[in-house]
Amino acid sequence: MKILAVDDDPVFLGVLLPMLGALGKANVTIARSGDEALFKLADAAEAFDCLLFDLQMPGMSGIQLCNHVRNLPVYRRTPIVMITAMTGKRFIDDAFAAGATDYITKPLDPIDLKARIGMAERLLKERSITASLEKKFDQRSDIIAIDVDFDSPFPIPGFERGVEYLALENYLLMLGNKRMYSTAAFGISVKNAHLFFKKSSPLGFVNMLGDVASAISDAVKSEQMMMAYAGAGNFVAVVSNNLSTERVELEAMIQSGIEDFASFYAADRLPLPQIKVGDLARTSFFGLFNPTSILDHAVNLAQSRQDGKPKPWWSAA
Amino acid sequence: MTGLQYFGGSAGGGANDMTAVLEPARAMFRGLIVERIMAFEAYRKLVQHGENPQDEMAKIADIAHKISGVGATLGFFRTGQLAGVLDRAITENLAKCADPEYFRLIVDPMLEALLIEMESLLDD
Repeated sequence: MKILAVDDDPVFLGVLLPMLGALGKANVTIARSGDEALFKLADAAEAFDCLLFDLQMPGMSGIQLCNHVRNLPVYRRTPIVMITAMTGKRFIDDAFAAGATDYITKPLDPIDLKARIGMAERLLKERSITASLEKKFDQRSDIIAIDVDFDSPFPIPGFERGVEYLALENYLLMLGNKRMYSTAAFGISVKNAHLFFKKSSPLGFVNMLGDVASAISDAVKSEQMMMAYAGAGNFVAVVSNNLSTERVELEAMIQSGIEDFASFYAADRLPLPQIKVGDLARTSFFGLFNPTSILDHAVNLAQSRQDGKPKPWWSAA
Repeated sequence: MTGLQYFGGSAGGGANDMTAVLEPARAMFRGLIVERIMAFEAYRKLVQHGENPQDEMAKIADIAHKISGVGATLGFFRTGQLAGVLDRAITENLAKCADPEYFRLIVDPMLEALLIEMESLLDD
C-alpha cells in the first residue's frame, strides 16, 4: 500500500512513520504542507493508495487539501484519513463534507491506527471494482459487462452530493452517541428497485440510481446534509436534527425530477422508478445503540412506507 | 512525568519495540522544548503588548497543537494534556481571543502551567 502522509510537524511524522512501519506499511511518502502534497501527488509515477492528512496546517489546511485532491480524477475515490486533535462537530462535519473517508484523533493510538488503515485497505479493494465501473461509464460504452450486487452499497457515478456509505458510517461513529441526539436521518427508497434490477441490465440499474441521485440532489439543494447510497435501491441522508422541507413535498420533488427521464425509461421498456421518502429517524434516549444504527432505522422507515407496515428497525439488514 | 504509553502487541510489536522505534521522535520532541518555550514567551509578550492578540494567540495555539498531538504518545502525558487544554481554549473560542481579559484570566494561566511543565522536562 502506497501512502502519502501530510503533516507540518516533523515530530508527529516521526511518530507516524514508525507506527505505520510496525503495521508493515513502509511505503510512505511524506509532505510537510498542502502545496508539497499536491506537487507529490502530481509527480508520482504511480498513484498513492491511501492519503493521511493533518487537518490543521499553516497555509492550506487539511480540509482545503482534501477538496483539491477530490477534484483530481485519479484521487476521486482514494481513501483519505484525516488525522487531527480536533474533535469538535464542526471539524468532523467539514472533513467528511470535503470528502474525507475517515477521521483519526491525535494523540495517535496504534490500535486505532491499525483499524483505520485496515478500513482503508478494504476500501481500496472495493474501489478497484468501482474504478472499473466509473471508467466504463466515462467511456460511455453501450455494451458494458459490470457486476453489481443488488443489496450492496456502492458509490453512484456522478452523485456529487453523495459520500460513500462507509464514510457516512465513519462520520456517525466520530460524532458518537452524545452528539447523535442532535442528528437525524431519513431514507429515500426506490419502491420498484428490485423489479427494475431484474428487468434491466446491471448498467441500466446503475444508470437508474444515477437518475434518482440527480433528482435527490436537485430536491435537497438548500439542505445541509450528507447522503449515501445504502444498497437495495435505498439512499440515506443525515441531517442536523431537522429537515426544512416536508417529507411529502420532498418526495413529490424527487418523483417530479425523475419524471423528466420518463421518455427514456419508456423507450427502454423499463418501469419508472417510484420514490418513497421515510420519516425522520432519531436516536433513542433509552438505549445505547451503535450510532450507525440510525441509518438502518432511516432506511427501514422509508421501506415500510412501501410495504404498508413498519418493520422492526433493529432487524433491518 | 514521562514514560512511554503501552502499545500492546497487536501493532506488530510489544511495548519495548515501540519504545525503541519512537526514541528518535522522543529525542526530537525534547530537542524542541527550549525553542518552544522561547516562542511561547515571545508570543505571550506580543499578545500582552501587541495590536493583534488574536493572531498571536493563534500562533500559541499552533505550537500547543503540535505538543498535544504527540505528547501522550511519546510518554509526556501531562505536557500533552496541558497543551491540548490550551489549544482548545484558543481554537474553540476565537471570538473571545480579541478580548485581552480572556487572555489574562483564562489563556495565560493555562500557558503558564504548560511552561512550568515543559521547564520541568528540562530537568529530567
